[in-house]
Amino acid sequence: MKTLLITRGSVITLAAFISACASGPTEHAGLAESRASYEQAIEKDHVVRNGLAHLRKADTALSHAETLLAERKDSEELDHQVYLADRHLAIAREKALRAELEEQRIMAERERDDLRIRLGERRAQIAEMEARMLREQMGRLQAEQTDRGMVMTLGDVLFEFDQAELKPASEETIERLASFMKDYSNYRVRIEGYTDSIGDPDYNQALSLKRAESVRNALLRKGIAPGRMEVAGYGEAFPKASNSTRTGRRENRRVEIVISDSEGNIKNR
Amino acid sequence: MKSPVKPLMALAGLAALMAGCASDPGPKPSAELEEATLAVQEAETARAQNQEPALMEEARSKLTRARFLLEEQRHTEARQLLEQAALDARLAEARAGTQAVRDELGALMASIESLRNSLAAQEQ
Repeated sequence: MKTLLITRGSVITLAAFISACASGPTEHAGLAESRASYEQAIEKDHVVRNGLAHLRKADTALSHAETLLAERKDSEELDHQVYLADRHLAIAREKALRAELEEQRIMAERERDDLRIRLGERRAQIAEMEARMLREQMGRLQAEQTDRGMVMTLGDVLFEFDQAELKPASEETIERLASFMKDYSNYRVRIEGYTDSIGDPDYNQALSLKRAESVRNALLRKGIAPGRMEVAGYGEAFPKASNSTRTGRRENRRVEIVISDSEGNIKNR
Repeated sequence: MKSPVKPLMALAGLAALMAGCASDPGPKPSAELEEATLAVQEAETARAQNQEPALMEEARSKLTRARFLLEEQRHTEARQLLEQAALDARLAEARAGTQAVRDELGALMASIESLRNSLAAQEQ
């Protein structure tokens, strides 16, 4: 159909060429086609809404062309007016298309913002859940919040008297600590030994360091990387209780495990 | 201001009449020249050159030909070319505008897709 029209158009153009501007033909395929596509365009709300100025100019050009055709004169100006009408129609349609895309863009922006909010909420939920799990883990380790962070205390009862070796009874505690460190691989620990004030301070310092090292070696055997552990022996320093009573001294004989923050930082004494 | 120009112009007019519609000078299309020049400039600003190089080339070459015709006093032909050039450029500009929105929409869709994937990963 379209091919036929174009062929007819060419024939008419040829005819117009031959007859020059003296007497034009009474029909013009391009004009008829252009008028038809104008009629289609004004049926479409979004084309009218967004391309009204261009539709009006197309109509003016088409009317001009139709007058020229009726008066059978100036076929070049006729072709020109049809050209202008076609361009105006194309621009009107393009503006309508753009408006449609703009609407889609607004919807997409809304959807994106909504998804961003949902993702943010979900991430906050997960972070909160993880924090809760961590608190539970710390609770299981019987770690206490101190100004140096979470600190887990291994009591004197886990060591042989005056020895650095851990008793078999310490196994469960060490296992809990190792399992925590495996689950939270960003965390590090600082293992610190302490004694009471009975005896030679140098001896006590050495003993406290050996006990801290025992704990580190036990964790090493559980597969914890050496770089994640620091050890220190403080001897009689930093007592937790008075050394003048039996229970106070027992409280002072201990190994403290200071747990880092989530980035692996530990506050030193 | 009597000069030999007037009879010459009359002669030219007569010649034009005799030649029929081919070389009617008509009024000088100054407004059309201005609009076509502006339309091409604005289309270039709207990056229509990248989107619609053929259409922009058409507009520019019509503008160039029209300027040449203006020098030859062939006003009617020049006006037609200028009017066409202006609309060629306006169409190119409109299409570039559409493409810009289409690009933005594409980027938004990609970002929506990636957000959906992140959300799905978080749900697991």
